[in-house]
Amino acid sequence: MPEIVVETVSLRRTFAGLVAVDNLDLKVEKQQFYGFLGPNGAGKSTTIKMLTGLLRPTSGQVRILGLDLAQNSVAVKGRIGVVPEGLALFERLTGAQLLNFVGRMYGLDREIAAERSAELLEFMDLKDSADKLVADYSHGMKKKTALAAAVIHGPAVLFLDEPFEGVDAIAATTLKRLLQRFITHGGTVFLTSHVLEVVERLCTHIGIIRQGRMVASGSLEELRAGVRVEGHLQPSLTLEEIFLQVVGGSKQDPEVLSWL
Amino acid sequence: MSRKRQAELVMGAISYVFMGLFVFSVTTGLFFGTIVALRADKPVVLEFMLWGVFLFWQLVPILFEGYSPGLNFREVARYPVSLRLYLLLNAAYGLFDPAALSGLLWLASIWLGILFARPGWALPAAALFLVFVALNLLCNRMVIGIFERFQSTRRGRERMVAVLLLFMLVPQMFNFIANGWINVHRFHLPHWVFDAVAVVRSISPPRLVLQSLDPGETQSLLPLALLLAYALLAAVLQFRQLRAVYQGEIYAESFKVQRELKVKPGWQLPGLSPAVSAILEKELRYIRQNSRLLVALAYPLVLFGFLLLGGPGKKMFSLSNGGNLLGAFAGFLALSVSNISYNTFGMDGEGFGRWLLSPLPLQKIMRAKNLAHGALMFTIYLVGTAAVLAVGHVPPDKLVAVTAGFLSLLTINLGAGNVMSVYWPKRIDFTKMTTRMTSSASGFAALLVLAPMAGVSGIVVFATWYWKLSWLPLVAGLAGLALSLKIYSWLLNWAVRHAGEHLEEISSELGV
Repeated sequence: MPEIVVETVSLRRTFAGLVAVDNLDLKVEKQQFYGFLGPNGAGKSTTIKMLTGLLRPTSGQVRILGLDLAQNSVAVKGRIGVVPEGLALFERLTGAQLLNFVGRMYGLDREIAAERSAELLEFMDLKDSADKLVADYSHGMKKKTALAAAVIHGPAVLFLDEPFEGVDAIAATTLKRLLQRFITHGGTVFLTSHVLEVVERLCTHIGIIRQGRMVASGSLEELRAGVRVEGHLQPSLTLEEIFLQVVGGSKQDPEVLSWL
Repeated sequence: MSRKRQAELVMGAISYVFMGLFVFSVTTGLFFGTIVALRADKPVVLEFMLWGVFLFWQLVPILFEGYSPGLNFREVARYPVSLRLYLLLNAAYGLFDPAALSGLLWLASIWLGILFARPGWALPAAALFLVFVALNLLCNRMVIGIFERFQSTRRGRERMVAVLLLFMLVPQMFNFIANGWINVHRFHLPHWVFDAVAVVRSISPPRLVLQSLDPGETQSLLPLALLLAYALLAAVLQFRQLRAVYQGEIYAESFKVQRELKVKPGWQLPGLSPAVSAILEKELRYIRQNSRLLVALAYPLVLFGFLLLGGPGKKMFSLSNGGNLLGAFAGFLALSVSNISYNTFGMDGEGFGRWLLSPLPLQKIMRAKNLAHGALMFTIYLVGTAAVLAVGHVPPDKLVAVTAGFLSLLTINLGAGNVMSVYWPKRIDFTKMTTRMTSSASGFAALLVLAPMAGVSGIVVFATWYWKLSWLPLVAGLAGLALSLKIYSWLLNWAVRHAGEHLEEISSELGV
């Protein structure tokens, strides 16, 4: 039986009466590359925040690596890596100092933390900026630093909120290389992204959320089998077509912006 | 409209009224001053008036720009304007600056005074003042241009904040001198300084205006030529500067390319776990980068230095009884603890999220932060103590009592700071002069925390003096230290509980 590493049961979160996530049930198995999709404001970031302990659920349960997050948050946090929405970087440290610091926060020996920091900076093409303050990094460089900080302790599960947003093609390739290597070595990735092409190419499993509710989930083949798009005779739909069909976003352009 | 906004509007209106009154008073004063000076045949007074206008015009916009950066004129070059229009807009923008308008008004009032007292000078004075206005305008726009160039990079903005903060200490130094806290007789400026000042004055624009207006017996045209040369030079430099901006001059952060990557292992402090050592290292690195905080932390030591060196300080606190001086220093230093500990996550900003993601309990993180801040404050205390011991005598029992008392105040302040930090967190922007180190609510709460502690300290000092209980400070200090540890622990638990229940609000305040 496959090992479930991320599981939510009836997860719910409201903000002043507004339901952001509504009775969400999801399961992610070990070594899956899980893409969590949804339109803007669907509840993706809220979900990932609840999965990583940045936000308390209003109700429901989160289990990571078989542990209840509410009861074992410190133990769980030691075994996951996170690239949150705002990146959560200490921007007044240099790239090298930051990675070194994060490594030691996770209990790495100072020599090992320094060694891994150097390796990661090299891998992420940040070597030349290692002694520069993170505050002076470009957005793409910050993203790469955040990913390096998320993996420095060798986590079992990675949670990534929009890791490809605002990064150039070279940086995106570096990130993808790192994530594929992570999966190959037994890791599990849970990511949200707006870049459907990237999700389609990387993810083995996909969940689509709309208005806080899971509206489709499964492998890409399972999703293709479950969705029929008008005008398509063959079943090989792109993820974009599936996504638009599921969230109901394929509207015809009305007579607006006629001046454009 | 929110109450806060209403209060801001009222305060703004009041400050504008006061500024208006100031400008009007100076205008009137300059008018009558000019008449009196010229009738008394002392035209040199006009030079000092022109110096006032010159300095006000050049310095005030920089201070305002540092506090509340307005329109960055570089941005205007992005719009579809020709170079000529851009130059004109720049000049017009400079002329409508409040400092420039005040300067114009003051020059007009000086000119009117000349017209009344010495009508024969009115025409040449008008022409000279026009050159002086042009020179002021060009110099000011050039300085602001350089300032904006600094402001366009993060590092430049931060350095500017540090310079302005140090600049703001100058009036306080004068205040100390005026109140006799600094004994000026001790400082004798070398003669060459006065000679240099005389040379600068002789070729300064205000002096040249006056010499052109009243050439005396020499009838030399050299001052006028030099004044015109200044204006021409300023115009050329300003043109070059604006043309470069118009053509797309870009300033960005630069950095040294690292040839060989070698990451040094972080600190490992004796007796501390790797994680706590890492937090201490991070905190101290952050503090080192916060020029505002560094100035605030250095302030007690600087003031203490004045007390130690200055005459009145010696009279107030006899060096033969250095215990009193040390006690005063400890009390003053305790006041500045709130700068560092009452908004403990403020400097982290979005980095607060990293603490939440880390596999460390918040209690441990806050304790490690307190350890870093406490160690720094205690180091400052030790420097002060060493200075006192170097110049005076402190009996050992007093030294232990004051040290225990300071540690008690420090410990309770750190504990209270934890509570304030989670109740009223505030994101600190290193690049803005207006950013306070703590929220206003924390500032008031700090007073509430310090008042009872000051009261208890006062009672101990009074009882010691009144009943001649020389042992009391030592016993009170040690008892206070034991009690403060208990209170600290209680306050820390309270803070952690509150933070756990309000993570989202704190994160949102800190911009996570």
